[in-house]
Amino acid sequence: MLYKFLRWCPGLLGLFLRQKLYPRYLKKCASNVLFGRFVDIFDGRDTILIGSGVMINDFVTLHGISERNPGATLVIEDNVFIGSGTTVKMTGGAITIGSGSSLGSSCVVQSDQSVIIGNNVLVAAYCEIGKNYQKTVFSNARSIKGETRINSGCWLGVRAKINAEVKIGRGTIVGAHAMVTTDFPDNVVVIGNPAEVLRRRWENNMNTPRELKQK
Amino acid sequence: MSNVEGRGAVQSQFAKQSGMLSKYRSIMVGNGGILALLLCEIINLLFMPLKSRLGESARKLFLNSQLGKVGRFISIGANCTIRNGKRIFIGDSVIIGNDVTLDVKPGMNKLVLGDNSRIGKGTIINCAGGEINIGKRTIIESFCRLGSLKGLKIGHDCTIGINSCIVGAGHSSRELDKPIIAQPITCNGTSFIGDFVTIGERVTVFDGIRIGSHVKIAADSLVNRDIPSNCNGSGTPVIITKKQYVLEK
Repeated sequence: MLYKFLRWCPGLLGLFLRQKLYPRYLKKCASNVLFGRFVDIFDGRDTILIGSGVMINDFVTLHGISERNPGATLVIEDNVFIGSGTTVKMTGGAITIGSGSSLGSSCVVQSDQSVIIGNNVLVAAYCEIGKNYQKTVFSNARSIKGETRINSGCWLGVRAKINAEVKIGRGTIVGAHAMVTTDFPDNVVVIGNPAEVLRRRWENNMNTPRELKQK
Repeated sequence: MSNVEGRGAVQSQFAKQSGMLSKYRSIMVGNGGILALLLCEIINLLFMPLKSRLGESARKLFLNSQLGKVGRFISIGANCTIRNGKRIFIGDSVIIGNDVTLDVKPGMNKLVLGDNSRIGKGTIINCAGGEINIGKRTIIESFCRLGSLKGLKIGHDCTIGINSCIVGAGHSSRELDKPIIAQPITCNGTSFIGDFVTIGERVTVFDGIRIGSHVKIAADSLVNRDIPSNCNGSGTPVIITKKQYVLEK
C-alpha cells in the first residue's frame, strides 16, 4: 500500500519521500538517489544495489529476480543516469552498470548470462542489450553461455542492438540502428546490420572509407 | 562542419548548480521564484494525476496560470510532466495524451504546438535549446522522442509514427583518451520537416536534417541525409527511392 502511494506520489514531495523510503525495498542504496514516478522494483531486497548520486527517471523498471542464478546481483554504481521507460531485467545472470554511465530512454537491458556495462558508457535511446533472438526464439535462453561486456568509454547510437555473448572494446562507437553480433576491438566505429567496422577512431578523416571504396 | 557546444552530459548539468531546491526550481519553473514553484507543486500534486473528465477540466482550468498560452478546447491527459511551462505555447483544440513529458530547459527556448495537433501517450519532447515548432493538424504518435539543441520545425499535416525519434544532438569523438560522455555536445543545425510528411514507425532522424514537403519515410529507416520534396525514403541508412507521382493541372 505504501509502495503504491510512493510509486504514484507526484512532485517534490514524491521525490523526497521516494529518496527516503525506497531504500527499504533495495538491498543497498545510497542516501542521495533520485527516483522518478512509476519506478517499478521487483525483488530488490535480495539483489539490487544502487550507488550514490544515481538518477532514475520515470517509468523505469528494475527486475531483480533471477531464478536460475540465485546469488546474482543487479549493481548500479555511482552517478549513473537511467532514462525514462528503460527496463533493466535480470533473467539469468548478474548486471553491472559502471559508474558515470548513462542509459537513454526506452532501452532494454536483459541478462540471460551476466551483462557488464563499463564506466562512462553512453547509451542512446531505444537500445537493446543482451538479447539474442536467434538463440532464445528457436531454442531457449539456456543456450546463451558467455557474458556480454561493453567496456568503458563506449557510445551506443540510437536503437543499437547488442546481442548476448558479445564483447565490445574500450571507446568503441556503435552507430545508430546497428545490430552487433560479433566481438569488436578498442576504438573503432561500427555500423550496419550485421555490424562491420567503418573506420578506426584515430583516423579522424571522415573521407577515408569513401576513398577506400573508390580504390 | 559541426559547431561544438560547451555542455557536458546530463550528470554534469546536474552537478553544476549548488543546492537541490534551486536546481529543482530552475528545472520546473525556469526563472520563477519560490511562490511560482509552490503553485506549480500544488497543481502537480492535486490536478495532474486526476483521471477522467474531472481531471481534464481541472487541468484546463488551472494550467492557464502555468503555461505561456493555452488555446480553447484543449485536452491534457493524466500524469503529464510539464517543466518550465511559461515557455510552452499550446494552440486551439490540441490533444495531449497521458504520461507525456514536455520539457523546456530554462533560457530563451520555446515549444509551440499548433492548432489541432495531437501528441500520443508517453511521448517525450525535450527542448534543450532553440525553438520546437509543431504545425497545425500534425499528429505525433505515442512513445516518440523529439529533441532539439538548435531548433526543430515540423510543418502542418504531418504524421510521425510510434517509437520514432528525432535526435537533437550528438557527441564529438575527437579525443581518444577521453570517454565520449565527457566530450562536448555537437549539433549540425536546425532540423526542418516540411508539410504533409508521413514518417513511419521506429524511424530515427538525425540532427540538422532537412526533409521537404510531401515526403513519405518507411518504417525502421534511419534518416542521415536531406530528403528533397515529393520523394520516398526507406532503409538504413535512408535511400531516396523514387519520385512520387504528383497530380498537376
